[in-house]
Amino acid sequence: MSEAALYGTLGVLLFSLGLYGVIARRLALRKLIAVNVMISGVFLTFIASGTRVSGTPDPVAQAIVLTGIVVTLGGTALGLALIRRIRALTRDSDRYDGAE
Amino acid sequence: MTWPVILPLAGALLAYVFPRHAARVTVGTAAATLAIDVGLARAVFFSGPAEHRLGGWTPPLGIRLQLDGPGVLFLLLTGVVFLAASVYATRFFAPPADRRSGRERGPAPRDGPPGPGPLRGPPAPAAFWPLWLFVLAALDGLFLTADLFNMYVALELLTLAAVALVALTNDGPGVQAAIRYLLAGLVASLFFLLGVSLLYSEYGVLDLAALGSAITPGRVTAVAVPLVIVGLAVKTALFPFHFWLPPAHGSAFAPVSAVLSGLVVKGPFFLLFRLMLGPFSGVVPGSVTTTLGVLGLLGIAWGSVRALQQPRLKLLIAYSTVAQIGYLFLMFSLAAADPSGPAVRGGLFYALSHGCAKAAMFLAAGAIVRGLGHDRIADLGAAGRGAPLATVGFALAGVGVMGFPASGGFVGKWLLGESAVQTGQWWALVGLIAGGLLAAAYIFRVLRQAFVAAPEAGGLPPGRAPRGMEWPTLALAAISVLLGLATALPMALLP
Repeated sequence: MSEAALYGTLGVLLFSLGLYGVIARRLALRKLIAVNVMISGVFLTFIASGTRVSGTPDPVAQAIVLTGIVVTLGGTALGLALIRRIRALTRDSDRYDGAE
Repeated sequence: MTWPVILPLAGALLAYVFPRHAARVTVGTAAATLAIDVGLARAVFFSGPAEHRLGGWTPPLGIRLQLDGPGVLFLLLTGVVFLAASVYATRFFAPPADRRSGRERGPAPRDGPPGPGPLRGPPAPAAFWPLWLFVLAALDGLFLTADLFNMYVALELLTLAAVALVALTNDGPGVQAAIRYLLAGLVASLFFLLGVSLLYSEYGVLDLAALGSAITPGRVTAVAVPLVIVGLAVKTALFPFHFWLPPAHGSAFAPVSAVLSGLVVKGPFFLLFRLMLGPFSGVVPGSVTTTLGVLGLLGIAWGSVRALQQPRLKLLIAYSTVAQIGYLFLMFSLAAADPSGPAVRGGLFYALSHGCAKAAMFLAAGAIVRGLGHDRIADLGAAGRGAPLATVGFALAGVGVMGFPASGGFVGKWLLGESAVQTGQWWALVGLIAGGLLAAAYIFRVLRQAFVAAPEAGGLPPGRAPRGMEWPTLALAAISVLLGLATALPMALLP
């Protein structure tokens, strides 16, 4: 197994693990952390894909991952702010209400 | 061509820096953006599609913007709805304290809950106007971009701004809905991005045109394309991924609901259209497009039935959106069988018509809530006095959603139905007709209460919704009907 394929597989594994977490966990905070695990998986596949295309580290893939990090930082921060807000509003828990 | 994105971004910064003038800056920006959209539409109409290379860089390194008929129509839709909703929002929120006029009085009620409702709205949260313009910039970016990663960035900007707008109600249900919306949106974006990553690893390109010529059926394509489709379907709220939509659209401020339901779900839908009938057209198996169509059908049934059961007007409209999105996905199944047939025009035209009509319905619901102080459907008897113009607007927009002849919705459904007959997909025709009947049932449920039922005992509404909320509603509803009468211009721009 080549190095790129190894990282790519690892990325997909992380993605799946995170997806499981988002679906299985009840707490919004844990879901948010699971989303961040998924994000790492996607970035890993991107970096791996860069090597696969040209054989050398690919600047386009790295630029994409850097941009992605900035975007997901914003998303995570917003999520944390919302969770804090719901805690302040409900006072008792940050339980994610799965009911419709 | 970059102006529809740059202007709202600049407007958002100005609105953030000068909060006292934010409302005026926003309306001005929305009007200027619409003017530019009209100019772009003229250009496309007379001289055909165009493209722009950002910073002069050519693909594969540079990012390409493309402007074509469908894109410019969605730009126009966005411009019109945003202008109407922005004008509405200036009256929806209470004016700044120093400019309070005599007519607007009383303490500030929240939008939504029952209770005697004085006519003055809640004050606009400071973040509202900048976030509002971010949504406009992100949507315009989605309609213009021709680059997979640029799509992801615009999608994220759209989701984050929309989620923040939902959370601005700052109450339990609103923030809860925002969290759910954010998590669904983030996961969906990651499906999209993982698919893009796999495509990039296989073909080494992100530009749509380059991808279209490079893509071939194969193992990686067979995994990547469904990932991209699932990600966008979740963001469009295709059944059964619609779970985040009703609470978010039902609990947000009325102008926010209007833009979310009318426009924001159309962004990812437009990307699906771009990809499925662009680079992916040769590599998506028939089973995938048929699945999308069948899920659309189930969405029509589920959304309509749930809409019939809702006790509150805003939730009814939100579930109606779940149903209407189903029609848009019928398009993919029909277009796969006959790409040059009427299905694509029908689906896109329906999306335009629904964008106007659904936004008008949510604006009308907001005006009715303001006039009556509640949105319980059973007690809408006084709606005609609390918000007369908006009630008429609701009825007009309802004509489009039901798909009555001569409305925009009818034209879209007719074309979809024609395609269903031509390609022999009769189940889609059943869905179109049954969906129309169900829509008539839930809309007449509202209209019966508003127009026919006797006002409840002592049913004088607490006041009247401001005219500034009613006129934009009526204008938008009128446009959704006019779309069905003046189809020639939009049709000339559709493929």
